[in-house]
Amino acid sequence: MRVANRKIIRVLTRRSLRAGRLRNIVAVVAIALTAVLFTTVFALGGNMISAIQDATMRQVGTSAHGGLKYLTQAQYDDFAQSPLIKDISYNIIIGVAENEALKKKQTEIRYSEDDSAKWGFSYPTVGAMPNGRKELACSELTLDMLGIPHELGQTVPLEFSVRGEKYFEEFTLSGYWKGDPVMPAAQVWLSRAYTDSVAGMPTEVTDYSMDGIAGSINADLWFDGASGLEGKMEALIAERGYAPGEIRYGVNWAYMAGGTVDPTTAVVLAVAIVLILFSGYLIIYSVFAISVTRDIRFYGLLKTIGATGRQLRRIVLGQALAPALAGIPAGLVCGYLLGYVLSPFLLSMTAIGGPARASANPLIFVFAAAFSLLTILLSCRKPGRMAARVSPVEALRYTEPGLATRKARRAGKGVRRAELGKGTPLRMALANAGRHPRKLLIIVLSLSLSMILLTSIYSVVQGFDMEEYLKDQVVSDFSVADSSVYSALAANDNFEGVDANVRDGIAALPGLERSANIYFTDDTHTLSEQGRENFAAAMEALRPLLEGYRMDMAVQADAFLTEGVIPMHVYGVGEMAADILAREPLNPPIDFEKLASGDYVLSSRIARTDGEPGGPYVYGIGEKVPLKNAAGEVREFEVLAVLDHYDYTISAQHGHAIDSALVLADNVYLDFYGDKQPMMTIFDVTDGDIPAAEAWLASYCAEINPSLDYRSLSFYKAEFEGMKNTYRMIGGTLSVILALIGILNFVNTIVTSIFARRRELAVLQSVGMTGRQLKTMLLCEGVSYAVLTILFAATAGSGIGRLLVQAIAGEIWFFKWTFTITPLLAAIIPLLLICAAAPLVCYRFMRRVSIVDRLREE
Amino acid sequence: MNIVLRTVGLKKHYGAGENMVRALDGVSLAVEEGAFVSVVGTSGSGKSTLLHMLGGLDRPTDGTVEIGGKDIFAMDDDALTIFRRRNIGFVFQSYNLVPVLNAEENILLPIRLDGNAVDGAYIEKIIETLGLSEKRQSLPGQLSGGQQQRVAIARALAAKPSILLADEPTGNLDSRTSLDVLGLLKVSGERFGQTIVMITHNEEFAQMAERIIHIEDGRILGGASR
Repeated sequence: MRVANRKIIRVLTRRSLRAGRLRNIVAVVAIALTAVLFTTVFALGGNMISAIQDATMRQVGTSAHGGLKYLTQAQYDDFAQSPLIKDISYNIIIGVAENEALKKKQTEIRYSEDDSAKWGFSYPTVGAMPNGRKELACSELTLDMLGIPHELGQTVPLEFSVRGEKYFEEFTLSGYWKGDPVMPAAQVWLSRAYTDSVAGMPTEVTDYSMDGIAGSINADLWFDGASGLEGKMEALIAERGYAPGEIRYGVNWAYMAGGTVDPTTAVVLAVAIVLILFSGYLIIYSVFAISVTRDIRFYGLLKTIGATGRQLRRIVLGQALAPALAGIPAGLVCGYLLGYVLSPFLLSMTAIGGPARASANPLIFVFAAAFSLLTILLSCRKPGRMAARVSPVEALRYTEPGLATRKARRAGKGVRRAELGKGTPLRMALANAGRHPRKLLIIVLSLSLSMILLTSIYSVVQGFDMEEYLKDQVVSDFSVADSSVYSALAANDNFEGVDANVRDGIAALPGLERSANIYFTDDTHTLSEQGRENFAAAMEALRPLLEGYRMDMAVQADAFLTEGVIPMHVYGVGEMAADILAREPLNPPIDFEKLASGDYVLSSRIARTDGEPGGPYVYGIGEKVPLKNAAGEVREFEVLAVLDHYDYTISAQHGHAIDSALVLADNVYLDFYGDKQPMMTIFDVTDGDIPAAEAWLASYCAEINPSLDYRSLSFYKAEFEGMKNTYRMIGGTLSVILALIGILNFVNTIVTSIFARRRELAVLQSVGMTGRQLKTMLLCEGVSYAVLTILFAATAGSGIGRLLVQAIAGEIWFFKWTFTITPLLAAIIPLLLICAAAPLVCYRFMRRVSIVDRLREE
Repeated sequence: MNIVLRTVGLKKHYGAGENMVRALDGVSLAVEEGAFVSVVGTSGSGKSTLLHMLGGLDRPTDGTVEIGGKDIFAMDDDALTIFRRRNIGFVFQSYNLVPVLNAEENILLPIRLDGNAVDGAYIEKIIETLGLSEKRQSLPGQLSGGQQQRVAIARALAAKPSILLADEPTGNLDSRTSLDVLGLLKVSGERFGQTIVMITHNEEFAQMAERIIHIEDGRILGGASR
């Protein structure tokens, strides 16, 4: 029975759709615009998340959901049976390469199955995985470090030790891939046969030092979904009958929700969703409220005949869902494209770097469609109830000519409002605009939304304080270094790139105030006894932060400790650079004269991976640091002060898992390490000479020595402008679409209202209102909407805008709120024009039908 | 005879105090099954209000309406709507056809809204009786006034209601067409066994009924069987 009576409702819905073509068009466009907004926002969010996820995976070193560490073959085979796992693959750790040339990058030697290598972004793109006993596959980056051409069949020498036994072996290159400098460790793949011969698989792993884990299995695995990985991992271990803690595991934090969406992004996203939902509600509600009012007789009639409220609601909903069938897909496509176009702007801001990849995550479309649908359902509730609640008698009365009661009421209102205006058409226009206060409110809100957003974006951009932004970034007017130093993606940095020629040029610059050279050694430092003690304590303190995914950094740290050798950045800095270090609020003052005397060194704390200050140090104040130069000479320096950190802008701009630095004065550095070129030269010139200096430096780096690059105030200013542009582009685009929705809503309301009143207007003309007066009246009506919109946006709107700005930019450290109404002022003229034009165009169309014909119309 | 329709002390007041309008002021009447009753009165006498009450379109200030022994205002809105589409047929002065549905669809609408199977033979008979066989597929806009009103009567009869309420069914028609339509209304009522209550201000048309009720200022003046 239900099915049967739905059929007639469908017929009625279809026919009523056919009858309301204008409404359909407006509804389709309104729904499409709403869907565009949702899709754009979700696509931007999705692209952002997938870019961050990509970057995180590269840092983690694999795309797999998680890994089980240090397994025996029997354990691995057992885990592989688990129904909880979707896919599993493994590799076997042999050791870490000890070639001098590979010291700078942790290079791990393993056997790997194909899948595990693929998931780890380390699968040969040329050639194949090692098959023959003495074959090897590695990345181009590793080959470069070894100075071996990218050619299959090349001989690759490898040094490593397993359980105290040292190996010097030569392998044949069977395959290679590009390699990724962002990944924390490089992988070198060997054959299974060779692996088994040097690192027999342990039957039990209890000692988690390098010696203990050599030959054990690292399993990479995938679950069904990426949510709750920590719990899934624990469940898997329990399911196979192990006690908690018995099996070591790691979870890929690229999949952790907390790691991908920070609170600010979440707030901005939530605000955007609410804004779009509201804007969509205003127009869709308005379209259907008007339509139901116009068709009230139709609903009343159906009710008289016996349609229930539910059935009438279903008709109204059907009228909205049918346009949604066209509107939502169109909106999804346009919104996705828009998101694709805008994404690079957003990603350029996040310092992730790398190519922007458009995420085609189906969730983007699912969410966008779901929210669009939700908007429609919410918007149609009230119009549906209006149709359902219609009283049959009221509806019938509409048919009768005597609309006496309603007319009388209207006239009364008109008279009361008449006192407001002076000219007759103006007075009537105000009365007309105020006839339906709810309609008026909706249009004003709808038009205001885009203006509020626009003002907010403008005041966000306006509030970005360049001084504040530059304060941290720019420590000198200029810095010059080999371009690889500035690039996060370069593999082999040249730390001795500033040639004598450019230094002479700088020295000869007019207006030069000060300059300094910064020398650098990416050292492998042999710790003193005291240093070893300090480092062991430091590793104990940092252990929770070092529990990584693949090989525990802690394992690496253990290796460091056993050998007593750690990576160490050694800088030699001129006085100007020392002043920059001393200027950091967290750093102590530096007595440069004492530092330059020859016996002293500055020690910087180990950077904590969570970015907090106050990490542990390797050498404390007064302790002796033994440094060794290339000639093998060892000299001891006393720690003069402990720095919290070494300033990034004048650093080698790359990091290690365990980062610490020692700083000598430039003269001491050169005396000890021998003469070499600086990594970087920084200098200030008098303000008036900055443009000339910049021009000279730019042309020098472009023409004379293209391997050099420089940073200047204008570079950071451009970066700053780029960021402002991102806000302008995205915020501006969303504002424009919101504006389109508002305008469409206004035009629809005005057009339907004039159309509904065409008889009333004909009556006015028949009793002597001239076309000119009528036009003035309609024009005033339209303009009154514009005026109210501007008033609303300037008052209540600026309060809402303040909250929006807070949500978007509140967390940005170089943002200062400033009050502005410039966008409002700029919007006044276009708004007035649109609000004046719509009714006039509508009147022109109406005038085509003669007064008599209009009077006759029912 | 069975009483199919009964009102007791039916009142409908609008407004309050001095402005109070007593559209109906205590109307009690009873109509037997199968009767053809006309209600006559001047403009504003309350006859339309009475009809709306009888059909459950509007709720009274006081008093009851019983149809088939059931107090219709004891039901909630949706229940009343469903009761109405099963038991009461309406014919209005302005036809009130659904403009987007053709003649046949308009006729079948009450049955379809109920989700019931259509009694094909019965509908055929109605369509034939009312002379609409040729016009089934026409939209209301393509029909003359008389034809539209015949479609409205067919629609009112389609769900086999026990009572048919007609509000000035000939108000928009010329006198010849009016007589045709009224004749058809009466014949249909007789043939399909329906009780008919018709409102009119035309004494001549009223004479076609078996019983005439005069109403003035919301009260019944007299009701006589002819």
